[in-house]
Amino acid sequence: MTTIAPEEQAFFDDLANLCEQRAATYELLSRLYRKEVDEELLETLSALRFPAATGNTQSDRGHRFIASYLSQQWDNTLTELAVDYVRVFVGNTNELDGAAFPFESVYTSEKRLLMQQARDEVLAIYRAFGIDKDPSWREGEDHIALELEFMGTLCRRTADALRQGDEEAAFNLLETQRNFLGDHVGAWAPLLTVDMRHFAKTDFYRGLACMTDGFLESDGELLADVLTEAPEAVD
Amino acid sequence: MTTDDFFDLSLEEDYGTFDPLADFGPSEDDLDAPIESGVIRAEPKEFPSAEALAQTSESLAAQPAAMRIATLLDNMQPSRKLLFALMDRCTAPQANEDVTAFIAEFQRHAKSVFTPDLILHHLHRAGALERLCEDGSSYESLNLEPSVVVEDGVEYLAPVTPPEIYWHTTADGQAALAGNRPADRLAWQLESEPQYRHLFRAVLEAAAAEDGTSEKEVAALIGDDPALEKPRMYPQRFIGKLNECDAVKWEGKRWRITDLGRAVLAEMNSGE
Repeated sequence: MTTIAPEEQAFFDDLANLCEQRAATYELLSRLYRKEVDEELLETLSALRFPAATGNTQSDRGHRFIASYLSQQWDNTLTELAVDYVRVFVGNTNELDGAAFPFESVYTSEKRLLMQQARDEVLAIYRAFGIDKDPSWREGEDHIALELEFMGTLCRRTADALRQGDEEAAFNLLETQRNFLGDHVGAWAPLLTVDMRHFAKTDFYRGLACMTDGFLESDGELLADVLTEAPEAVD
Repeated sequence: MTTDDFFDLSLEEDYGTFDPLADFGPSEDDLDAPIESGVIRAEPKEFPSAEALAQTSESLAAQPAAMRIATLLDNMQPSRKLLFALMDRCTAPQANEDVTAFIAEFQRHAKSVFTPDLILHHLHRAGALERLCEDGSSYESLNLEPSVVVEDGVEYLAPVTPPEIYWHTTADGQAALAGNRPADRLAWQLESEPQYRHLFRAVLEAAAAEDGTSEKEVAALIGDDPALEKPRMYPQRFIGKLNECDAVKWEGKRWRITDLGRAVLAEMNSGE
């Protein structure tokens, strides 16, 4: 292994810190989509500090929606959030467009069906990285929560690779993130968030839609910048 | 038909050709069932659309408070006593913590699927209760926005802890409360069914015992009364009627007489 110059290692460390921050955001978003907010998560969110001016309008709007909603909570908040979660993602009719069903297949298949080509593709990608769904997960692998969690996992692996000085591995992981964002989660999430805004009655889930749009947009720009600046990986 | 024929259980000759599924062959409807709809196979028009449901909800919300409160009381019959008890308790503003404890204590003797916050939410939505601040001002007029915190030159939004809610019965809630006259209901009940007056008195007397009474004990007490034969009535009905009129209550797993019930029982006995 070649010796890494101190200034280059400093750059790697900064980038590793950034990847860990990205991972934390992806994991938070994943959790918010995976299931309803519970008491523990509500406490955690209430203690969070949301950036007020990120430079991305949608992110800022999302942060304000959620922080404002949390500032008005009372005993009924958990129930209200659970009801809105079901209203947004599950629906209460049997119409195919009766909710913002959070699966890539729904938004990329002609008849809005589940378990279509998109699911097969993402499953193959997960397995190529040695990842498979937990047996307790009964939904398709193209659920937005899993796709976001996958991005978070790649971010953490990137951070690890950078801290170990493995530039090639880090570059490849970053490229995978850019491709996955462009081909999958970033491609259909904007359609999902439009529907979320239609169905949501609480500022919390409207805020989640805005946060998702803003963060994915920013992250795409970040990856484009980093990969443009990074030297080509050695084969 | 002879006795022998009646007990002849041998198989008939053509039993082997019987096809139990002959009338249940595949229909065109089954073949045309939309696969995309999943497990439920029903015509789409049988289910309301999301927009229709939303409109129903909005039209209910647009009704006057008096109507919303009446609808709530009708739809939550098992919880009527609690709803009225809350409207009565909150005629003076009560802190949320105290009201929640009151509901929990009430539900200790009367289990409910509704959590205290849900009960309060329904009363608030129906317009029977309003939310106030400690100083009596309207809670809804509060501008509860997150605070701005600066760390290392970066601004953050930090959710604030909202002040405690004080629950207060509205004018419409007061009117609904005034319309709840259990003493009148009980008097009407006794007057409209004079043939069962002695049974109502027997149940009240049993409930007045130090340890109250149970359905089983009431059944043993009045179950053989000729008045219950035609039309057929069951002892539990009389407990239910007295409970609806607040003459008895369920407490400590026993039926016990209330102050109203005790007063009416005294009248009944003095009238003898």
